[in-house]
Amino acid sequence: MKHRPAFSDERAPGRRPPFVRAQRMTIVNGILLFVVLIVILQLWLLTATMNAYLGGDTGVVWPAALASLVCLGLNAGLLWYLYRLD
Amino acid sequence: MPVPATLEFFIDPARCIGCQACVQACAECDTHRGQSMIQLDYVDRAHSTQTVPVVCMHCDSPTCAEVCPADAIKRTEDGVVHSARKPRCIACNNCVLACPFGVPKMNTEMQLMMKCNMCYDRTSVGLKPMCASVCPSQALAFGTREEMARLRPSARPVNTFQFGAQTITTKVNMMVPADDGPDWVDVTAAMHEPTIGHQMLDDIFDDDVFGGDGFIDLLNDDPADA
Amino acid sequence: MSPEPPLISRGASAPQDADRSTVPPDGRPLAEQPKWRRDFPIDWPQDEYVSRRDLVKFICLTSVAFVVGQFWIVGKSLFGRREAALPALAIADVDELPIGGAKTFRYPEGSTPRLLVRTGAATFVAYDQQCTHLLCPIVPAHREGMGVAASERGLELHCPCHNGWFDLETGRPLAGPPRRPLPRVSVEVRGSIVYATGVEEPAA
Repeated sequence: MKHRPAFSDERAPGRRPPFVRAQRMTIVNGILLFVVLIVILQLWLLTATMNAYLGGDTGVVWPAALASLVCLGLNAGLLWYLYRLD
Repeated sequence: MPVPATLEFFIDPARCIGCQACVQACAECDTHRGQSMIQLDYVDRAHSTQTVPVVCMHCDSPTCAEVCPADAIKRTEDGVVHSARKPRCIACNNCVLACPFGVPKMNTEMQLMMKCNMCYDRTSVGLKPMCASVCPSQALAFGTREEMARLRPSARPVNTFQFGAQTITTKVNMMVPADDGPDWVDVTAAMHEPTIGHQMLDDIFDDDVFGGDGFIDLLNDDPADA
Repeated sequence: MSPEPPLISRGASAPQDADRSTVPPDGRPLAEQPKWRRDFPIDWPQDEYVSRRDLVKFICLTSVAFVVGQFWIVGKSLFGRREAALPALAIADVDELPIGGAKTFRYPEGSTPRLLVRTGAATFVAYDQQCTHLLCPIVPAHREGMGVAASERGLELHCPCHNGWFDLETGRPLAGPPRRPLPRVSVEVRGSIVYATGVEEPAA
């Protein structure tokens, strides 16, 4: 429940008023959820790769590293979106 | 839930009778049970019995929060400045020293700064704060502006204060005389003025009024002489 | 009271961010404020937003750390194996051991104990003595059970801690908890001396 009127029309021109804080809070929570899921995936990748590598299976090392890099790319994209939000 | 924007806090020091009811009621507030956050200050104790209740003024730009090195003092969107957040407060006393109204208190036992939060558990659901609900003379009043205008036709609220170079706009209003009252309270200038209580007492106990015999002299007189 | 107006005029006209109720002391809009003021907001909801945002930033940093870890494994797999060939080391006389006899040695010097087993007249095998399950020392032994008497089965390597068994010829796990083969030490018989010539990691 907001008691202050939104001054979205009075903002300086050029600065797009994308979202009010309540909306941004929802967005940041959603992003947080995705980022945490991706990082858990990366953790699993790292442990599985380490296990395979120590077990002598080096074939999986490169694909796993690239997959982890893709995960980082996704995270960076989400973070970039979050920065753009401010 | 935020405090409704229509409800405001009004302090009228002239109506304070020094009964300490607010001080006692404050300790009943559930957000700081057992700890009274109101100070009842004497304006000029040597010459007057006039008291004034000091509650947090909930500044638009809270100096206490500005000086907090631990980022512990927060203000909700309805403008209420809250006690320091327990996980963050480092009990450094910066806010206690910085507040121009002298409101924050350091609870050294709990290592936590506590201050009036306008009874947030009550006001956020539209109830009056504890102090305003018990004040018999309504020196502390909580209600709408229209209500106040109706009840106190000779007074109007002021919420701008000047401390040297610092201008402070507050959520809590101070009542001043409606006709010749100031538009803002210049606190540092007021410090150099004689207090009103002093003037009044000087007037009351003037030799002319008392026929050459002041109140003090009266007391010192030997009762046997009378 | 004092005739001058307040020193800093801060009209309500300044269009503040709709979400921020707190006014900075100098009254300028938030966009003109230093970055630390935006990072440490006084408004409670904004503070929650900032802390949530910073958590996302920190988790992205963790993500970077995971990628670094992955590429560290890649680097290990690329460069870690390039070890200099170990010099041959005399570890035993041929006549020192009876057939089926065993001896521990260290190769290279200072390594964990290795186990040399004589399997035939001029055939020797050597493995790391640590069981690949939980690093207990293994010993040559005959396996009993499954209706086969101990004497009827060939010599195997036994880990007594959790009853693990390895094949003597290949080092592969046969029974019990171990899942990985024993690291093998290649041996060579030159004349009457047994030399260790290298360590074959099972992973290689």
